[in-house]
Amino acid sequence: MSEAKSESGNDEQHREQRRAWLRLTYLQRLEWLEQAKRFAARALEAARARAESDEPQR
Amino acid sequence: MAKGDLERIFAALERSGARYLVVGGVAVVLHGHPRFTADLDLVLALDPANLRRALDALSRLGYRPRAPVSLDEFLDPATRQRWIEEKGMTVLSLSSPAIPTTEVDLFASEPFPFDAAYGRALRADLRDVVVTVASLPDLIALKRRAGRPQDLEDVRILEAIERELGRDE
Repeated sequence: MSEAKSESGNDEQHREQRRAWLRLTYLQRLEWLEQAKRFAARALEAARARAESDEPQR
Repeated sequence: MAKGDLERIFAALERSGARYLVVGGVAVVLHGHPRFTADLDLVLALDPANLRRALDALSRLGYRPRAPVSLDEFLDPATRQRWIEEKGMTVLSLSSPAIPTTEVDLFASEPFPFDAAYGRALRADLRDVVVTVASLPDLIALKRRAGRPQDLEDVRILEAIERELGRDE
């Protein structure tokens, strides 16, 4: 019973998130994606730099 | 505020007068679902004049094919057909050193009748530029046909958005 309630709570939460997203302008949606890409690019760059600094020195 | 990569590409396409439809992950985001994608998938009207306008616009942004072919070869229908048949090509992937985080994928054939889909398209107003995005039903049909796990997950969510929008009408 509590699981069923929890699933229904999750569904409602997803619906509310979806409604919130649909209230954004197209420009805001695109800006979210651009920010996510910049964040991913920075994280990738940092991971590369860490990997290079971890390489054993010859 | 500085324009993002995608806005720059859309603005260049709009200036060129090319007819295109955004499909793929960027279309999913614009239709209202936040999910990550690094690629911009475009369906272009494949008539020579339109292709020339679109390819010139992308070329001015530094876009070149990742494969060792020239952009001009994509203009030739017989060459595109050969790539589709011999190499199993679905899209031609372009990259640009000026916009390194956004790869552009061009469909090698129209995955739906272009003119009808263009007429149904969502015109998404980004303030300085209007983007033409495949309609929800066209995007859902395309993704259902593609059938990869990410596509089917997108279909599930896009159908939920369609229901949500239907409730508001």
